[in-house]
Amino acid sequence: MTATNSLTPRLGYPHLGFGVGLRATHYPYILEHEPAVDWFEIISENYMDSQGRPRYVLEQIAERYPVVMHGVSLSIGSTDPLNLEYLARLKRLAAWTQAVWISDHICWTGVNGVNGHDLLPLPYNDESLNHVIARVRQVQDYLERPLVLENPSSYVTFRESTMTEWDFATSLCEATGCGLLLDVNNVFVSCFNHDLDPLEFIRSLPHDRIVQFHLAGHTHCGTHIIDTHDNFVIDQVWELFRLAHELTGGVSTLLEWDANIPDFKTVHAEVLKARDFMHATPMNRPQVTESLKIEPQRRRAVPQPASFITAEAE
Amino acid sequence: MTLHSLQSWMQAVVTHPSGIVAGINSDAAQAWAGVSVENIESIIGRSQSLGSVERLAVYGNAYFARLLECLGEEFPAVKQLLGEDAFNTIGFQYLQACPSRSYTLNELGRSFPNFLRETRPQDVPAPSWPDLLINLATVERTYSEVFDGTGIEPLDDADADSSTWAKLLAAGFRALTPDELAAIGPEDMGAIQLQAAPCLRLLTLDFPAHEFISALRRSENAEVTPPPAQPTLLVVTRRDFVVRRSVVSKFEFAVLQALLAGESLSAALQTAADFASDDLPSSTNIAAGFEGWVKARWFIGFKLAN
Ligand SMILES: [Fe+2]
Repeated sequence: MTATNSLTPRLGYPHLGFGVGLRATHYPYILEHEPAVDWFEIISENYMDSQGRPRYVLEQIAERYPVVMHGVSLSIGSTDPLNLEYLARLKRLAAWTQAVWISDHICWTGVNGVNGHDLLPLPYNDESLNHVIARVRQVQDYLERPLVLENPSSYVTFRESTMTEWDFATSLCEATGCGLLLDVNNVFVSCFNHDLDPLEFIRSLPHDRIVQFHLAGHTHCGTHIIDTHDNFVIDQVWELFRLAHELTGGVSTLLEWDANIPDFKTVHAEVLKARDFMHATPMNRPQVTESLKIEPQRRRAVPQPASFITAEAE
Repeated sequence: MTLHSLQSWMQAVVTHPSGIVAGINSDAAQAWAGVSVENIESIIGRSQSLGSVERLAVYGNAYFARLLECLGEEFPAVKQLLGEDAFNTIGFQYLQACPSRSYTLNELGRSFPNFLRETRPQDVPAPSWPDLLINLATVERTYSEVFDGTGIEPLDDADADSSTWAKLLAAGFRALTPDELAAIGPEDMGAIQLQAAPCLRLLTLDFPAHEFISALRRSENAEVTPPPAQPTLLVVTRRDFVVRRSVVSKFEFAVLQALLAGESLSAALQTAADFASDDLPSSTNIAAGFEGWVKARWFIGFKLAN
């Protein structure tokens, strides 16, 4: 893997259009109606061990739609050794789904053998950067393809940090040739939580390395924002999306909805709003998104990056 | 502080059952970073609107809440019977005893039935409500494993050598279908050995826990009356990607156990007859029952024992 080649946007990966995160609650609808969605993103861990219905459904979906794999347990930033069995299963899944790319997060999910199933932030400094660079290289060598890594939502900052999150991501891309999954909502969430400027965050990234966008809703708690993926995308995030679209020239765009999941049509319609925002100017920008009209269900705000698929029994 | 110390410290703090302050003061966290609550800003910065402890609490609050939510999704009947508060109390203890050590949440509930068994209150006579809880957890966990584990439905297996059917053939078995069964001569019948579907499970229960689970699903989690105790022998398997269950007699259960242990059909029938002499069916019922098992795909392969 060589350093950044600024001549090839998106690492040479295709612009897949507007996709939706595959969730078990939508299986019956998708199989029956074959909706005209451009592509699906799957949570890798929900399928890598499956020998049952989730896998069977995915086989059918992968035959009809482009599939991208998105993981939540690679734990690229952890100081625990990489889990080689996990990587082997990831690679096998990528082979049979013909995954267009494989992504995970710039984070750690646990240490000393424990998995908290959360996307925990790293301190951004030379030690952590070198650590992650070495591991990204190891994973890319094993998977024989570049990794695509996402900026997580975060709720703390470390005194040990000596660089910004965007400089960390930029250096990581340059050193390893990996790509970025820019979660526009996560930029908004983290910048709110850390008193940073989301515009500066997005402007400072290496735009030619951005392979994909994520969009999602969140829960605003007044003093901080929690990345709950349980609602429509808010207008300020759409604004950031518009900027990111302009700076990248457009990349595959995906909506994540993980709690209080509405019917498939609603989720699909939400990601298609991106088309209206792509070329919007302050004068002609779409009026009011539904996020302002719909009161989120009052539940405890818990980020839930991984999900559990419940058994179907007679 | 090294990255490893920082991660170990943060994990000890945000997974502490008594919250962030207790986590910071815990021996585990202190061993990684000897920092007090007063000096916490030397590790975690504050924001304009939240202090460092409050910021860490976002992770702390989410840790148990997230995993309890998953546990509740896997064990809805246990949760219903206990009520949300009691379920969360027991789940909270379980998660401390058995934190996730896997990349997948499918493993999170694996030890939950056993945890309930080990922590069963000693002073409550059996079988009663703790045993119903244990039974429900056992059946719900079995459903999860059968639902997503190896089955008999055809899948485009990239790794075909490890498929159910490849293993069957490699072990010298032939596929068993109702037609194949009918073609076996009566003189050979007793000598056949059977290969069970890889998803077949046998459960010995004190309560018809499966009925409570099904009733709950049908009622969409409305109040369902728990069943009275009744010894129940349950077969769980999967067909067409859906988990199926059937109650069998003591005799049938003994036959199934013996067949699963590799005994020939005649030996299994003899074992079962010795074990369940009070529960012997007629020979026509045995034959019909066995045919039903083959139709239901409980057994998928056979070979002649020699
Ligand atoms: Fe995301």
